Amino acid sequence: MKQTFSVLPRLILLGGVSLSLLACQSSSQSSSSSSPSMPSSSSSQSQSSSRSMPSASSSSSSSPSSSGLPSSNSSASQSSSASSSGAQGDRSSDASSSAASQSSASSSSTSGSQGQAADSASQTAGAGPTAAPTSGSGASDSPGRDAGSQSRFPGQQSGADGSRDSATGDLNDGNQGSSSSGLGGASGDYSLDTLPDGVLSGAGGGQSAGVMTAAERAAVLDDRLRRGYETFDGFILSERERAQSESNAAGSVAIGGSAGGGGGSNEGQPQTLPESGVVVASQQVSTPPARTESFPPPEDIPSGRDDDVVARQLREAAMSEPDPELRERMWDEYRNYTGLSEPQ
Amino acid sequence: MKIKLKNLFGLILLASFAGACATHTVRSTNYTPIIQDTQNIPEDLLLDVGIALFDPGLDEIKRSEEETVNHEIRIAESRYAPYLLAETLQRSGNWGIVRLMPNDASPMDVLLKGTILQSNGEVMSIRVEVADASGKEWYTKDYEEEISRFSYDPSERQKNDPFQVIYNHIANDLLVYRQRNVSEADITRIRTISEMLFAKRFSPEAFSDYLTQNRRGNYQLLSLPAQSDPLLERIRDIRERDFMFIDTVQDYYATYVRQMRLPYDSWREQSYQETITLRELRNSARRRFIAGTAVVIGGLAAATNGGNYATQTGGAIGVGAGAYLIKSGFDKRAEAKIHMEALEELGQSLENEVAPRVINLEDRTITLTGSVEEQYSQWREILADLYTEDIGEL
Repeated sequence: MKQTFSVLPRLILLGGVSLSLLACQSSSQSSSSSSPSMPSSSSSQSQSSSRSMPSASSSSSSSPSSSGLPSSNSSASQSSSASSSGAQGDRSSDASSSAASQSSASSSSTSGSQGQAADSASQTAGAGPTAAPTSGSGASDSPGRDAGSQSRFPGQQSGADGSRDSATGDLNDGNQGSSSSGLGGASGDYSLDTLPDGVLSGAGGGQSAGVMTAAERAAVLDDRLRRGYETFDGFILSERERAQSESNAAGSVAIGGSAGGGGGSNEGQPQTLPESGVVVASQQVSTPPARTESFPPPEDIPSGRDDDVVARQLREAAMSEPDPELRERMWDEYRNYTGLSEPQ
Repeated sequence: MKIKLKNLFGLILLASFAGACATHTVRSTNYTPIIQDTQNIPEDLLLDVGIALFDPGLDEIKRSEEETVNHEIRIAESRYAPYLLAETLQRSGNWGIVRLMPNDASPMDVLLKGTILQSNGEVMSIRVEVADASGKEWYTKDYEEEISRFSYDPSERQKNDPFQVIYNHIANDLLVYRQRNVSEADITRIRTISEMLFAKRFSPEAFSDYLTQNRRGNYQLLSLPAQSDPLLERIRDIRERDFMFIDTVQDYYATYVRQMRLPYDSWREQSYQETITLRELRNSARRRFIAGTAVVIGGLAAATNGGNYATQTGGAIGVGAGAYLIKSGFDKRAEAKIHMEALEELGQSLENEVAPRVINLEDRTITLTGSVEEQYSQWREILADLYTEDIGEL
């Protein structure tokens, strides 16, 4: 009996030690399990952080996306709104308030990831906030991104209607994942020209370069559109010039005002046909030689790189006008149109 | 018996007159100028007009004209005439931009379609159909103009196309219709519909819901996007480019018209003369056949039924005169055939001149349209992505 009593404390002690050991072990397990969860959370976080902190994304190769990034704060808040709304399954408009703090963004992002991938969500649920500070670890990024890329990219980018629908429908919940996953999945070497293809293909690459908000993506797309305009304008203007010179070469014998193109249309409003016809015809006759010459613009006229179509046409007309008086009037018109004449 | 003889001579005389007389058409040279709207219309209320390439009307060629109508020339005319009409409408100042449309892809506020029913240098006949962007048909009307030789006078040709009056009539009718039937509210609505149709062409997912079609197939506005809608602003930018494209095509047409003008006018002038001569010869031949036949029948009757020598002799003379008339009818027909062949030759000559130009025009237009469409399809994709982003932000 005594022996039992003497052994009991030992047993209790042993039990206590083993319990403490077990406790230690479980805590170490939880800590180790939290580390893989980081990536996903960190990936979602890295999205906002990459925008707010371009340096974080500096590891990725090209960051043309960063050029299109307007203001880091707003973009971060947008991403948070997207992710949170996606998690809830409906659109929460207030989430888009730019005043949303980064902490709220992080919390919403975790919920967003919950909505996407259960396992990663469960991992991030607890670890998200804590993971945020440690988001810098590159190793932890990739898994989370992969998961995101799978869920988001096909939906958004396949280009098919269905996928596009899912992209629009799931844009909010997918948004976070998409930006993290999509861009994570993207090679990172996409440029403004190749963005959609890069995103489409999902070719992996730079992590932070892919992290873009909807506004940023819109900016990039707008930029592509603008470039398309420039290409188109250049093409069309050169084609027009060629066509007009051919038209002039074809003969200056214009029938009662058969002046080509829109140029003739703006030149006054004729009253009756025969006279006007002659007038327009004579104008047409006089213009051909002028087309070939080019007169430099006055000093106060800027390069005109940002000119729209009308301004460009005005500029072209002024530069090709041989009559100095008329040319100056055209430049005045150009100044008025482009706002140069207004007091700064 | 005296009466019978008198009747016979009367018949021969009448037939001779009928066979000899030729028609002389008096043509007025009244010139109808373009009417200009007395009101100064704000730019916002000017309707843009698109003119489709005319239907050459090959299916509507009359049997009597089949031999003289050259199909290639008619096709060439179907590109020439609408350009002149567009110029006329533009110069009237009653409309916004007026353009000859290379295809029907770009919606315009008002669309005018035409079919050439007849064109031979002497007469030009065009059927015109007008509708607005909503699909509402304004009117369909046939125009015909028969011109005088004066229209081919060099001084007149320098000023106007010989058939300028027909274009003036079309332009004036269009103005009258607009003044009487289209209110300012209608104009605003039509302009909006054409803009929405264009927007729908580029971003159907974003703009389809603004329009609906009623039972007649006419478009109606359901709602409107905000004026500051960024997607709409982009669409407007693109539309501006589309107008640039159409303007470029106008330059193609201008070149074509200038290249075609001299040979075409020359052909029309000669065709004018030949057509008139041909018609007169044909008519004369027909008359001679009829008169000759009548005289032969009368002469035969007199010769066989005549009671005395004089009547029988008169009848025989009548038969001879009738036979002569019929023969002269054949001569006239042969002469007409020569003129018809001359017309065919003229047509062939012009065809050789203009057909390559038509092909060249078509080639260039199609090539440019293809390049432009390629760019447009890229823009469509970008707009679709932008729309997706916009929706995502909501």
